[in-house]
Amino acid sequence: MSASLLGVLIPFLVGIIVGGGTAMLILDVKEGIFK
Amino acid sequence: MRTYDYIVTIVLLALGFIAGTFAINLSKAGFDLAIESFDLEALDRFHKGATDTEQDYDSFYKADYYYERDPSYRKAERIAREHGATLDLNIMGNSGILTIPEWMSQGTDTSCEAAGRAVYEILSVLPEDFLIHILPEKGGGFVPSRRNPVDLAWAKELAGIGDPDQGQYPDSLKKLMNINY
Repeated sequence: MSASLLGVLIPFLVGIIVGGGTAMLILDVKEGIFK
Repeated sequence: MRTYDYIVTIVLLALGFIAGTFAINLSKAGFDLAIESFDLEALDRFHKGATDTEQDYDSFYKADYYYERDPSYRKAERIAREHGATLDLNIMGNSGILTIPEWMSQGTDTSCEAAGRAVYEILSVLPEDFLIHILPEKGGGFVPSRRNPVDLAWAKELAGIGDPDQGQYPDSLKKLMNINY
């Protein structure tokens, strides 16, 4: 795999994981799961 | 690394973040739609054994999803664990089995009160009309309630929780015990 492709994929995947995790956390807090 | 590369990386991170957030919200919205499509009346008929149509049978399985979604069931199970007991809920039958630790089934006032308090706290977070069957961990033996299954009113009695106006428990303790009067 070329370095440039990795340079595109890795930041994008990290963004997806962090974004998805944040959204799940926000939804869980909204549903009152951590109360 | 050139400045251009940093900018591209940050833009990609932001795009990924947006895509991730969007995907999770989309799946949540889809899930909510699925929940709303439940025929809760059919589910109720199924509880009561009134019908055994395919539609009601379908709702029986959908209830699994309902259970996963409603935090009150999970909260009830967590309260049970905090009391050292295990709660097996049967949401189809509005009932549950609370397996209590050995010390709660010794028949002393303290153990009966402790069991009552556990049941009371559990029933407080569950829908109305729920009944909890108490079972001792070791099987057989003493059940700390004359009435079994226990309803909310009797659990309150068993826990020795009197009129809150009498100030039997100070507010700080009530908060600690997570009791909602």
